[in-house]
Amino acid sequence: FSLQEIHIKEPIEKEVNPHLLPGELLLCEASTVYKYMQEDGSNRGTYGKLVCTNFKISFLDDDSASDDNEPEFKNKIVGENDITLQCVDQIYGVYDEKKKLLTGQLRKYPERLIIYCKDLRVFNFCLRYTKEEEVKRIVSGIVHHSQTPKLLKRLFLFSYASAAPNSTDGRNQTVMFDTLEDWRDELERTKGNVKYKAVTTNEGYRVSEKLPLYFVVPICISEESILKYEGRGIPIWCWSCHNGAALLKMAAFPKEQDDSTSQMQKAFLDGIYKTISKPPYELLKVDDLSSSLPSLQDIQTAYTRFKQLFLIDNSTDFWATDVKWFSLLESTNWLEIIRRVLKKAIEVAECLERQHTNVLLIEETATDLCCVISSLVQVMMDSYSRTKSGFQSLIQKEWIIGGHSFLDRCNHLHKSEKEEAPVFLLLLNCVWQLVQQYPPAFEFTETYLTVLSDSLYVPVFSTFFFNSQHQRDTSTSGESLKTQSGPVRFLTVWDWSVQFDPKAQAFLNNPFYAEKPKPDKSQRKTARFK
Amino acid sequence: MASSSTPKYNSNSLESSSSKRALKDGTNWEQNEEIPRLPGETRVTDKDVIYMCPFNGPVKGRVYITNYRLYLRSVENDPVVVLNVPLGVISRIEKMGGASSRGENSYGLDITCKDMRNLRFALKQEGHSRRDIFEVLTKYAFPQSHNLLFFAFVNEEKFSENGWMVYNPMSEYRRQGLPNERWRVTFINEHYGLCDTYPSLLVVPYNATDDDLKKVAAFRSRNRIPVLSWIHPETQAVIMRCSQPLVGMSGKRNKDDERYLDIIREANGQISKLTIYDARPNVNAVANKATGGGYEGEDAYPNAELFFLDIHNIHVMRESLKKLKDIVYPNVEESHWLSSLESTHWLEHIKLVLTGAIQVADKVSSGRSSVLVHCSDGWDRTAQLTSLAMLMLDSYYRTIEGFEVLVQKEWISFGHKFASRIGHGDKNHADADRSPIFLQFIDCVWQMSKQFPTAFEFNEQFLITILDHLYSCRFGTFLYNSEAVREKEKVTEKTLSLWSLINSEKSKYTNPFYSKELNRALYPVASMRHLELWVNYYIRWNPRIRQQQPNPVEQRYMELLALRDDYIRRLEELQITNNSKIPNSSASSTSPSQMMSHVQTHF
Repeated sequence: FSLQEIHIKEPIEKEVNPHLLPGELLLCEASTVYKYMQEDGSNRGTYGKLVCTNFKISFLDDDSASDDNEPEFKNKIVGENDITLQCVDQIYGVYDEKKKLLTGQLRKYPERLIIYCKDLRVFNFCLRYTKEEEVKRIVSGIVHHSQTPKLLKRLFLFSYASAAPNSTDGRNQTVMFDTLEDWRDELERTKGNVKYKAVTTNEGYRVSEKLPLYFVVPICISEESILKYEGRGIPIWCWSCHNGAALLKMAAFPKEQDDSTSQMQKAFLDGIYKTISKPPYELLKVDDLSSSLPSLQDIQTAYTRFKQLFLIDNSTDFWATDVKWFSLLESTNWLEIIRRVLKKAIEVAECLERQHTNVLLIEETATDLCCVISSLVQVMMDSYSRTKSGFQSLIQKEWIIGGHSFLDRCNHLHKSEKEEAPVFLLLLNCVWQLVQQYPPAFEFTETYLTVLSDSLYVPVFSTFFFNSQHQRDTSTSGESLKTQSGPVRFLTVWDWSVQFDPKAQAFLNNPFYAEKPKPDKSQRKTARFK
Repeated sequence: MASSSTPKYNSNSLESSSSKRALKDGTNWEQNEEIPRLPGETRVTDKDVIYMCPFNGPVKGRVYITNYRLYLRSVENDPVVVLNVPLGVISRIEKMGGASSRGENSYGLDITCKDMRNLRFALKQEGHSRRDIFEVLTKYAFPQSHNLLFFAFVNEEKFSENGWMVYNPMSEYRRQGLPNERWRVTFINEHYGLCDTYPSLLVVPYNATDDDLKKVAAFRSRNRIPVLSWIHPETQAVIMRCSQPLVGMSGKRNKDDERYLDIIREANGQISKLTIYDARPNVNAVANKATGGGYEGEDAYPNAELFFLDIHNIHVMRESLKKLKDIVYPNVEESHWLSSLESTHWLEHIKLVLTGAIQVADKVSSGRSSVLVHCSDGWDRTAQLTSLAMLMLDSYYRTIEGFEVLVQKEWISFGHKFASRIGHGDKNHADADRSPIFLQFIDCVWQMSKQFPTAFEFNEQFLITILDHLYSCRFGTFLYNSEAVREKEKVTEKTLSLWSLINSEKSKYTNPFYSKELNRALYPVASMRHLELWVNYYIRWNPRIRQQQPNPVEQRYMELLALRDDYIRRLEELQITNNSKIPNSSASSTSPSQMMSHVQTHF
């Protein structure tokens, strides 16, 4: 399909209507809503219509004739006045100048609505001039669709995928790591194939639903041991350094009450360690990230505090907090967490490079801080990961196929706040620090990192809306999800043409990029240049 | 394969290969190089010492002292450690330890510098070995205290450009369209008879006579009367500068001063009030009444509107910089970096200065109203505000030469007391007159250049070079407190200008991203969220903190420009050969400029 087609609306109606994507349904609307300009404390703003669909909340300016001063950098799917339902962080109602958090059922309807977004935008709507019936409908609609628990199948992702003809050219240079071939190519590229092998043991997910279909382990690890504890206690390969030292990750055993079980697990682990401390592996450094780095809870707490500094309603608040800005920033602890994570990555990198030592990262499921550290180490050491396609392949390898629970960590379904933690954002923030320190070393820009983090909340792409490869696979095979043209196919976020036209895409590329990796044989193969 | 495409990892793994591993703790690590000497520079003494490097530990070396610099070269290290310090940066020399001090390297000299670092040398305890080096250093670092000439007066360097020609007040006023029917040039101060800290040439309202000016001078601190600094080419609103009125405890009034301000107000056909910006905090302005000063009261000046800009005095600024040095040298406070930085208040002061300048500029530009700026004497905060506002409003001052003119005009000619504020060649390190006011101004300029990376013709190196020679005493540019003294000392005849050095090597100081824009007012965001600590200046001695030099993006941009030029050249060559082969080739219709845009897309 082409998005141009969607944008064409009957010009007969003078009324402004929302641009709807395939599968997008208008749920409720309210007119004569007044949207305040964010920047100042004044009451300046514009009248318009506020609508809620199964994809987004959208404010439609009554005089939308101002199309001629279109910004150069513009998202085709999510406009300036659009908020996807997943992007809504918190909604406040204002009653007699008092702010109240809106969550479920409402008894009274507010005069003003403040929407805080996960991408740190703040929207301020005045409902005083709107008909009472419409206020009721729009407020409860927005709160219901964006703040209450949802079933996975009710995500817009599925209605979009069933409605949109799947004719987009999903092929690009990003390695998806969903085939055995991809893993073998990566092993070849990094010369890891001498000591490590790609295994098919998890075909049909018979080892574990958390592990990907294909992954890489030391050559000497047997299929039985992989199967024994559903892949726990098995070192899984991330990357090999040019000197042969490898970065590995491992899911730890849960704390066992039962003595004999934990004895058996210990014996099993000892066996594994013995196997991989013999030639050709030799030295191994084990790093338990659950004790050497802040917990997910700490990360979430710090980010929640940090976020508050940016969710500012007006310029009075902005200037009031300005003098104490540095100490406020420090007291959130978010930057300190970034510093600790970067220091850990440097420590691991030095181990691999200087001491020729294999490093094994351990974490409960090996899908959170393991992903952060292993990705950072690769970004620092492997110039391929600093190209756009290399970075995207890295995200596929460590995060998407690697099994980071995006659905839970982003709390897309509003199931449990306990699971929520901005782990992926933490990585992007650390990479941003590197981009700041080494500007010509990255093929992508700060803008790229920003739109990537924004895409976490755009359920048009499947990339960030599943907890694992297994969950994704089983969700697509369901009976109800067949279109006339075959099984549902999702879009990947890596097809940037879906969100940006070519002119806007240019903003994702760093014009000063200097460190072009040599296009040698194996790399060309993995990068699918053909 | 990985090994060739993977950069070797070390602490610099991401560092681009083009940035060399030089300059550790501000020293060059060079090998077998002659000890540099300027024409006119003479060697005084040398001695074996141990340089107590705060970053890399003790370094054995030999120190050479000339009438201009202290130069150290290590004897055992590879690469060689070099220190190259103009004696002018030295603020204080102290002996550490005594003849009987125990412990290794506890006997020697401790040197405090004006440029955010300290140098420590350990010497052998036998035979009072430090006595002569201490005496030599003291003598040449503080020539003013020893009846010696500044090095600038013996410097025999030659440059292709003459920096003294950069600023000519008459042509600068002419550039601004002055004099005109409302503003005139007066020579009343030709022999500094009206005001000994003002320049000889002044611009004043056409309707005020020289006699009026004399009467006004009696009511302004140190006779620093309101004079024109800058006129807006469109609104004709002006920026005036002066010192505080001598109101005193009794609330004295002066009819001539009141009338003079009214003449200024009317000069651009303004009906609204004249805006007066008093740079000080309100309480300080009130306190100044006790010493005869004060501010323009509402009763006496009904046609003026007075605002206080809350910028603190020289003593507060000096203490703030001292605190900043404490947290960055030699060790950077890491665990509570941001709150430590905040507690120095350095950036907060920067913010207030910028905020004040923005208000001045905005009033003149958008408010179309003339403004009068003063503090107490009108040579510190006033100079900061007028020069920054002019930088925001007039793109000429954002060029290399324009900036030199701005510094010459608003700072040097209008009597910013460089000698007292910096303490050139003076041993009295604790002098309460010293204060980093000019440094603060340059920091504000740097903050603006960070926020508008294409608006300035000069780069960071330009600003750092200015600051380095603010202390070095190699040039006459910043010597002495006023134009009157400079004339008496024959500075322009006997010394060289810093602008000679810079203008002879302009490319070194040019910002490759500069794109010339006329008449765009630049208003920086004066929020703590947008201000940064100038790490490349304040923490440049620390090899672990200093950012990459030269700036990798700047360097990359130069590479790309060179590459583009190379492609264009090759394209032209190909076209020539092509044309000679096929006379009627269609390629001949493609102009190089058309191809250029094509070539650019590959970058």
